[in-house]
Amino acid sequence: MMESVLLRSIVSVAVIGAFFVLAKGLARSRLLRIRSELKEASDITNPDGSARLIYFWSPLCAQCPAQERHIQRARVLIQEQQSDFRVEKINAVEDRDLARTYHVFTLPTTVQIDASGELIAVNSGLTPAATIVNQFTREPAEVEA
Amino acid sequence: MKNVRRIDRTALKFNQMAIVVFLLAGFIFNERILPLFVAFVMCAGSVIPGLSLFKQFYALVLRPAGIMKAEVSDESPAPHNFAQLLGGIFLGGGTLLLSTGFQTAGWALTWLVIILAGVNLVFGFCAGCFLYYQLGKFGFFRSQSPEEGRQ
Repeated sequence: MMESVLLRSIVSVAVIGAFFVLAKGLARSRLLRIRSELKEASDITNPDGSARLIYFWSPLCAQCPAQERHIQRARVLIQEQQSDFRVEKINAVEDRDLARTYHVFTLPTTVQIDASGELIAVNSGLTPAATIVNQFTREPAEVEA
Repeated sequence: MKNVRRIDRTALKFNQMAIVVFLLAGFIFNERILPLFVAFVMCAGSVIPGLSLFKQFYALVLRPAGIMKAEVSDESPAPHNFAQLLGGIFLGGGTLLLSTGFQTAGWALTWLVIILAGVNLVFGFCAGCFLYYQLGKFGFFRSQSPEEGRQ
């Protein structure tokens, strides 16, 4: 009995661990793919001197009101650091082309672009304010000489 | 007069946590009664809120005791109820498989619900809400803003 419980506990930890590793890997791979696709679309990543958060929502999205509160909270925290931060709110149902460009498959989705126009993150699902702030304050990728 | 719908997001999170804990316990101790119990709570609770036992425990015990704090949000509960009902149906199917001797398939369905509830809890990704949105694009659900009241 105890051996069975121990074995099942190990299986549980292994399954949960494997899932997290897979999820992180898929998210990273998706981000790199979107980043390489966007490099060809200069109008999207054209830097204008300020970081951007593109927020995809729709009237059908249950979690979007909560996401908006997190975005507002993140905006306050980032502005306290005296940084410029622009939020673009996009209805994913009306602007399907843009949603497709960023591979939006669920709502809410938030896309973070830094001041140099580099895509930092694509968050699928409800993203807390702390995560938005952490992603915003990440150092941009080093530029090779 | 507008009827604003509100939900408590802490209740949702506690519900997801309880689902994960009970189902994991069921798997680890090989107790089929636990997935059956959770399936009942999920299915019945999405239709009759009073039968959502985990949320009731939070509302009647944890919140009044100050152990957990409410996070009220102006949003429709419909997609969350849909997600819960969907999970309950999967789990009901898993329990049926367990009862008829199909252990691997039964626990696999149970694990699907564990992972989907866990993903919602940890990453904020609601699989049921995702389906609700995808089906809504094809006109299966009408838009439910917080201002719409239930008939």
